[in-house]
Amino acid sequence: MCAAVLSLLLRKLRPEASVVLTIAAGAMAVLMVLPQLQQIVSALTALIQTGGVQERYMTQLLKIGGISLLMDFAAQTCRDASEAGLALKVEFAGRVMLIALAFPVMQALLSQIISLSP
Amino acid sequence: MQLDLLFQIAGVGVLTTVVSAVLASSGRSELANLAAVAGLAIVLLMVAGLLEDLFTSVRTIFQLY
Repeated sequence: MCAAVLSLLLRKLRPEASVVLTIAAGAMAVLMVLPQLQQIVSALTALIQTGGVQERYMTQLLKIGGISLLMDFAAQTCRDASEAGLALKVEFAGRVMLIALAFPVMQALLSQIISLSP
Repeated sequence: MQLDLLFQIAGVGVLTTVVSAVLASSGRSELANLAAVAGLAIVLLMVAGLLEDLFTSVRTIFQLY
């Protein structure tokens, strides 16, 4: 909240400092949430262990979550700096990475489905 | 929660504006630009440490290597 007010003040005087200020505020917001996120992730992995799903797919899912978080962070930062074109390119790169990661999981799923059908 | 980091960034921003304004009014405009760039560099250095541990902690949490 105070970051928004401060960046408004800075926008008039020193535009580039206000962009850096919003980046710092965003980073701080995410940093505040990270310990709880850590607990959620460790509880999830424990759950998955008992569930019997292969370990590989679990790490793929985690990676996908992490990449989408970072992709969104970078894209929104670019939009804050009024660089909409750059934000779109960052999102495109993030999506390509996500698809590349999700592909093996889909293949495994399809092969299982095919093996199930008579 | 380093709330004071936010205020430091704002302070340095305002300070650089004042310094460059004073330098510009006293005739040395290239020094004013230099002061602006220096102020921005200080602000970026402040935020760099914060971003560094954000990215390392996200990497360790999601096992992104």
